[in-house]
Amino acid sequence: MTAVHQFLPVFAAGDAIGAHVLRIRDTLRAAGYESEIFADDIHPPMRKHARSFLDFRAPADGPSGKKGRVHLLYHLSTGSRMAAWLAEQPAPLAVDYHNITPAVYFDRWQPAAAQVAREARAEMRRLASSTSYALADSSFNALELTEEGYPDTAVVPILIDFAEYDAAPDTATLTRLRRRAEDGGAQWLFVGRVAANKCQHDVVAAFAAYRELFDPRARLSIVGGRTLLLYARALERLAHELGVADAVDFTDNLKFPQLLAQYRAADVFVSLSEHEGFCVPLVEAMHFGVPTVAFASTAVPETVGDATLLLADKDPLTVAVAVGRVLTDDVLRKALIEAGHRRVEHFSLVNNQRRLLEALEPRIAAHG
Amino acid sequence: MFTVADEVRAEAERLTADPGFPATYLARVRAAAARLGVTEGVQDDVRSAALLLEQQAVIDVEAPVASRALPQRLVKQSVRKLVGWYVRFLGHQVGILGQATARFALSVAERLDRMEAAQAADREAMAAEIAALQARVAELEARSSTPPEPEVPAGTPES
Repeated sequence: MTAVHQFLPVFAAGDAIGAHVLRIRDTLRAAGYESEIFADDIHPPMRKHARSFLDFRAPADGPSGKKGRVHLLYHLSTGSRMAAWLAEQPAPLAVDYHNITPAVYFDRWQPAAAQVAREARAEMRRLASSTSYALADSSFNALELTEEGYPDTAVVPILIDFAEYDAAPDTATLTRLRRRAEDGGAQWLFVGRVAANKCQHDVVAAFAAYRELFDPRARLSIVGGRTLLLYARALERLAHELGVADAVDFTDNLKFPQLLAQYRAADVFVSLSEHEGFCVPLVEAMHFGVPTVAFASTAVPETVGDATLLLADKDPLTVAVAVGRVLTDDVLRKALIEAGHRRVEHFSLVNNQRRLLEALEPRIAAHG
Repeated sequence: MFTVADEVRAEAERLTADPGFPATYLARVRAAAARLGVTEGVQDDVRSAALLLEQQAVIDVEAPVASRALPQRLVKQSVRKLVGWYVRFLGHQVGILGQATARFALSVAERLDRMEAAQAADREAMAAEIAALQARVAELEARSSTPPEPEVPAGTPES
């Protein structure tokens, strides 16, 4: 039996890449492959699914003296000692690239993270010569791989099981958000790690402009893990400085049902991120029928297709006017929501599983 | 094709021209957001590093006190009140030190820029001088390698 084993630096619960890895494993097993997960840092809830990469043993010689048919699939999104180790393995190596955030976004807020990002880029370059083929979440990511010298690249979007989003939302959170909505005012939402490349500061600025111009009762929820503490603090100060602190909620460490409640209560999802390898939250918002407005950067346009009001600039006034238009123009809002549902179908688990196997199987055969 | 994004831009322009447009507030919003954006620049550029240092020199001494649990929030608020005067005093000095260091780094960057500019001008002048000398040498060589025209004796008929 052919085996495709996956490797990733950090295997964490509630993480898009972690969930993607689990779904790839299940897809491969269902298609008749042997598949295990190996990681360096395995968070406690994921220990039942994975083992340390140091426990991995290269396949023993078969009776004919030929090595067992094993492929190694490495999920590349940050630097890791695992990369050099994988490059030494005799089995064919494939890379699934989820993008590395450019170091410039960390320089100011966490210089150590900037250094890690620079090393990760260098590592990515070195790994190209040891890689047989590669997968990427988007054409944007695939282009970066090609530019770094990676051969034979295919686009396979991140595997998302939208059925999971139909679970019951947290009642307390939903009740609180809906009660607040009774006072009137649009509910803006942004979901994503609190990080400078996601540009939550631009969302706060656009929101302040929107309140001043159109809707003084509007509210904004910024949901996401605080990976850059100083940036998170600067966002809070920005909200104070612009006089909107009482209308902006910064929410960290949300449980999944609480996240579902946030999506269900939102009137509009606004993303002004400058660097995305795919941007899962935009598609999540579409699943909930929330119209989306976004800055057309990096992989965002190809992810959203025609289902988002895409903006070429993110000046606070432009964004405020765009959101105002989406919330007041029924025809546009309905068109965006319908296009969003089509986009969700495009990225359905079944469709992306098919894309995964269509990309992997000929390459496994070619590099057997 | 005229898109919704174009209409949005046109609407934004129309609003800006409106007499009641809150131009001062919008200018404040833009400036505040711009301060948190990425500083453009080449990473090994001394000036970029100095500008980054200047940004970092502003120390936030007000530690966040938010917490989901009320007792934790109260404890944090109390600690901040108790040690606030002390931390602010230290933070003030660290901030001044940072600003002075940033100023020093920026003056070094400026000095380097001037030296590089002067060096580039010198290189350009030297290259022009070398080119002129090479042209002169080539001209002299061409002149010395041209054989003298044979003297034609008087009375020789033309062929």
